[in-house]
Amino acid sequence: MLTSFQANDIFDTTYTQDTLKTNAQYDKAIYGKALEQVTDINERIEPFLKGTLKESNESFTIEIKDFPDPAAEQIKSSIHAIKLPNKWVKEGIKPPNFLSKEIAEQIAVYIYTTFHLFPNRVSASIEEGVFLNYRNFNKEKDLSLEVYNDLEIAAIINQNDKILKTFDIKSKDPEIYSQIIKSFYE
Amino acid sequence: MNRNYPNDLKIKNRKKLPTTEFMDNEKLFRAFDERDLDETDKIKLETVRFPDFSCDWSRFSKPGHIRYRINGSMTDGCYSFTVLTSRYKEIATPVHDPISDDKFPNYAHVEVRELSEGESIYFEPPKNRKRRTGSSKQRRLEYRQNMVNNLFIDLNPSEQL
Repeated sequence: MLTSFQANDIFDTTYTQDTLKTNAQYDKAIYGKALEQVTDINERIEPFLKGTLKESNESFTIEIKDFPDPAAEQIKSSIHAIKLPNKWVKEGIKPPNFLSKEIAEQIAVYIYTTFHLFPNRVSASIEEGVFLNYRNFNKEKDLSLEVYNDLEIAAIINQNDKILKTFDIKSKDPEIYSQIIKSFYE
Repeated sequence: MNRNYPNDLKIKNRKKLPTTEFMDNEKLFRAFDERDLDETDKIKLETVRFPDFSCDWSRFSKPGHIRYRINGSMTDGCYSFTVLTSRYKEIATPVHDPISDDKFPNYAHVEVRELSEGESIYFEPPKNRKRRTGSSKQRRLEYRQNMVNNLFIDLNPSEQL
């Protein structure tokens, strides 16, 4: 899987044919082996990158079109894959509904793209909704956020078995998440 | 009834006790399994239910007795928290609620029920009282987190009694 570093470092760049043939980083990122021919580069690269390679006389330019961030995609798919444990089904607990998953997904992707935080745990909540947990290992803090099936949202920051702050999130303004993350990191 | 069924749990003509009987340092037992633990072996916040959840009162039962209940398993673990924890910020209070069941009688059964603002911890909220509208999710989440912070694992899943 390509990292954002590789994407920025390589794909927004114009390469000479010679460079393409010999750039080990490029080879490793794209093919994992030495590039022997560049004539069929579009065919080989397109399904992988969703981008195109334009060829001029002496150089190649890779244009990235809507290149999906694999980490953001991972967050989205993990939220949509949430299932209720069987024992909760027996107790009549309802699984997270579609809208709670959608909102949890937007929040988690926003937190990832803005603050570069990846959830430590994504699961169903026994309170009926989606549960997201983030961990600040340096400060031993936990941020837990729940999006309920009635679309209310609450969050809590805990440190060493002590509650530091709680939030009822009613605002749609993403600024609230900046305040939460600030508290999580201070 | 299973012939090994704990004698302590049988009703034996005993009466339900009032809320004032609960002592702050007494424990309330609750069942869990392996999937309720996180990677540091702590109970996951998202598995803790509130309000109106079932427990067993330590005055009349032992941790292993939580395995003897409807939908219980002989591999269940047990954690406990104090009555004082269950009354955190007077958000809820334990109510003695003996179960007279042919297969699973349980004199120790307790329901921790949510209090409305202004209600005393010695008030007994009725069973299945409708959740108050406007009851804050933040308040409930704080209650559950406080329970996770103050619980103690008495019996691990699959541990022999």
